[in-house]
This record gives sequence, C-alpha cells and structure tokens, in this order.
Amino acid sequence: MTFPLFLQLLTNGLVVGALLAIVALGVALIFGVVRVVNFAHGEFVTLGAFATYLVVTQLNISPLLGIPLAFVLGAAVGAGIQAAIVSRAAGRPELDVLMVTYALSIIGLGIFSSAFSGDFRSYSEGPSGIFTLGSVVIGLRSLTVLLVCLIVGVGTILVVQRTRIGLALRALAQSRDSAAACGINVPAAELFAFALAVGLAAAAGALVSLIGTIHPRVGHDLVLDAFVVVVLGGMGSIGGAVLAAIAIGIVNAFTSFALDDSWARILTYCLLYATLLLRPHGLLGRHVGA
Amino acid sequence: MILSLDSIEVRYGQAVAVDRVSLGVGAGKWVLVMGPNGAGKSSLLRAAIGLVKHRGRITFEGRDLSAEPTWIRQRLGIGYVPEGRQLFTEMTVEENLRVGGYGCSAPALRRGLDLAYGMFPRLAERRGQIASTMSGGEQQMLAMARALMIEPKLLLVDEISWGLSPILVAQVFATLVELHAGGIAILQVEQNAFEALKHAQSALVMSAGRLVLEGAADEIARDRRVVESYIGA
Repeated sequence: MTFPLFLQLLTNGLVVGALLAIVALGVALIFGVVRVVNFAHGEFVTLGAFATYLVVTQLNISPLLGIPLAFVLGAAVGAGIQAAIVSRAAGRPELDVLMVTYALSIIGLGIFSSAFSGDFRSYSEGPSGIFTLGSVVIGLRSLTVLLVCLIVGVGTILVVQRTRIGLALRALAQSRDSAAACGINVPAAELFAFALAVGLAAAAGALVSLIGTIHPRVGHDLVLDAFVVVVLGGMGSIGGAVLAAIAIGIVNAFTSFALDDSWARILTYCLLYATLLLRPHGLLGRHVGA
Repeated sequence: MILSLDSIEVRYGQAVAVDRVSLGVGAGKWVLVMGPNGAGKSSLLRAAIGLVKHRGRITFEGRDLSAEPTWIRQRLGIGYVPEGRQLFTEMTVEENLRVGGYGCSAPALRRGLDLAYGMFPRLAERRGQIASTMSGGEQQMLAMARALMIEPKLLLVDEISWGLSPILVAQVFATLVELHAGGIAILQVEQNAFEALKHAQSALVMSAGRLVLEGAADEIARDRRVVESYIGA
C-alpha cells in the first residue's frame, strides 16, 4: 500500500468514525444516565436524515442549516418520547424496557418505509467540490462532516464535564439514589439526557444525508456499529466511545478497501470479541456496581 | 417535632421490611434507632428520604412529604448519609460536594463549600482527589460533608461507623456531636449502638420490622435485654 493511499483511507475512516462517535455518544448517554438500551437510536438518525432531505429539497434551505434544525427537531421528539413512553417503563423489568425501545424502532422503520418507500435518495445542494491536501483528496462535504462532528462532539463533552446539568448527569450515572438524595430532580435530568442524545442522533442523520444516500434503514445500519462502539469503549464511558468510534471507522475503511464491506463487519465483531476478552469492561470502562 | 413518621410500612414484594413504625424527632434532638441486621432500620431511613416506596405519613416541619420525591425532601432540609457512603466514586472531592449542594444558589454553594472545608480540613487538602482513592475515614467525612452542603435541619445517618477503625469511629461521632450542638436534629440508625447511646436523647429498638422498645437513651442503655441483645457486653 502506498503512503498516499494509506493517508486517504485514514481520512475516509476518520469521517465515518467521527459520525459514529456522535451517534455512540448518544447511545452511551442514554445508557449511562437513563439506564436504557435505546434500540430506536438508529431511527432518530434516519429522522434527522429525512428531515434534512425534506427541508433541502422542498424548502430550498441549505443543508448546513439543516444540521441545527435536525438537532432541535430530534431533541423535541426525544423529550416527547422520554416523557410519554420511556419514563413510564422505568422501574419495570429490563426486558420490558428493551421491548419498548425495540418497538419504537420497528414503528420508526415502518413510518419511514411507508412515507418514503425504499428508494435511495440524495441531494446535490450544499457544499461541493474537493479539497486536496498534499496527495489526500477530501470532499468539501466530508470535511464539513468532520468539522461539525468535532464541534458537536467537543461541545457535548464540555456540557457533560463542565456544566451544572452535566454534573447532574454524571452523578446520576454513578449513583441514582445518591443523586436524588443530593437534590437532583432525576426525571428532569433523564429528560435532558434523552433529548440531548436524540438531538445528537438527528444531527448525525443530517450529516449522513450530506455525504451519502439515504433510505429508511440508513440509521438502523449505522447504529449497529454504534452499539459495538459503546460496548468496545466501556458501557457509558464517553471518552471510550469516541476512541472506539474512530478506531472502528478506520478499521472499516481499510478492510472495505482491502477486502469488502462484509469482511469489514466481520472484523469489527472480531475486534469487539478480542477487546472484551482482554478488557471485559471495554477500553476505558470500569466495573459499575448497581 | 421536626420529623414525624406515622405508621410507616415498607414492603419488598411480599416481604415486610418495616411494619407500621411511628416515631418523632424533635427539633435539635438526636434519636437513635438500633436493632440487629435486617431489622428494617435502613429501610425506615430510606422511606424517610423517599428512596423506597412506603405507606404511612411523613411530615417534616408540619409539611406532608409522603408523596414528595427524594430531591424535594432533600431541598426542604433533610440531609442523608447513606449506609456504605454511596459517594460519586469517580468524581473529585469538590465535585461530590457540588452535587451535594446541587439545589443551592451560587452564594449558598460557596458558603456550603467553605463550611465543609472548615469542618473537614482534610477534604480541603484533597479537593481535587478522586473519591474512590481516599481512605475509608476520609470517604466517610466526604459523605457527611456532602449531606451538609444544604445546611440541613435534619440529618439522617445510616450505619456511620461501617468499616471504620475505633479511632475513626470516635472522630465521626465527635463530628456528629458538634453538628448536634450546632442545632441539627439527627435520626441515626446504628447496629453498633454503644457509642451512639452516649449521645442520643432517645432510642428505639427495632426487630423484624417492628418497633419493640423505645425510651430515653440512658434508660435503654441500662435495659438488660437491650444490653445483651444489641450492645454486647
């Protein structure tokens, strides 16, 4: 493999990894704070993708503006779903809660399939052209994705690590009872976490629509990798999830080039298996008690 | 009475952990609940702060708290020092204290931190240290300091001598005595009641979820059955 090709694949992997990181951040946030495995997370990515597609093609709005719009829409939908559905399942056996998010996923898939059929769609509006850096060619769209992911990712981590509400989220992730006994309004903090996570998923969907074709399963496919990333990084560990996302993105890029997409998926799961053998709690995970 | 528990009942499935227990804590008073392991003492405290579902009425300063969630009860002035400390182990000392004062305004938070560090200079030295890396005694100080951030009127204290050496137990009790002298009411649950009986005004004995004995602490301390069963010779 030549060095320029190596750099090219690395760059491609970084773009995919950055997207994956934003989706995985949301999965980790919901798992860590709300203690729910959100199987419907991919459908929120799809929601953001189609919402952006619609505002771009129907209303002639720039896809760059579609990103914050998707975030706001996602946050609103996420808040509604947490308040009306997920929070009501709280305190029930884990399997019940899993069935609730699984059902949401199936419902979401059904809605997207009937509203948009199975067609692959894309649009040409927004940033276009390529950018060369030495021998590496990067599309302006990919560069946009990379930059937005960086801003959104750093922003989210700052919210979690440096703000008052972030302190509540971290407290909740470590000990629910203690958080409540310290005066934290637990349902409100959970609502915030769910809304933020779904907002991130929808923003990621907007970015997906910018660099690829979209279809009713686009988020569903992406979120499988995001789950691997969250387990790989250590359930609930935000730093671990980002690290694992970028690693998976890069591994995928190289394997897809050298072999093909299905081998990339096989290798991803082998990597997960090997990591869990060596580090049962993931890359940066710690054992978390009840 | 600053706190009244009226016919509190806690069930875990079919099992009755607390069986219609009533007690009152007067303003500034120190009340001790003793009894063997599994008597329902901790469940009673968890009911008082709202961490378990319960039947019966709980009033704090005349206000009915029975339907209020835990966070409201804390913000009204009930501090809780849980069994086993339950710190935010991956956070620093200062972050733990900030969570303790989560409901405080910025000046109140500042005042709470100053008070906590003044009372526990050791925590001030270690404010940037991760809680899980501290010794058991320091962690217990942190658990107390965290509960004190809101300047509570009532402190619920669960098995505070848990896992501590006799010297540290004495230190922790000295702190409770100081707080009590400052006017804070204390409802303490303790299996190892010998030390606690010296300080409390009244004591209650629980067994199998029920209240079996109550009286002034010095009387309870002289009761032969209590001495044999719960204090040890």
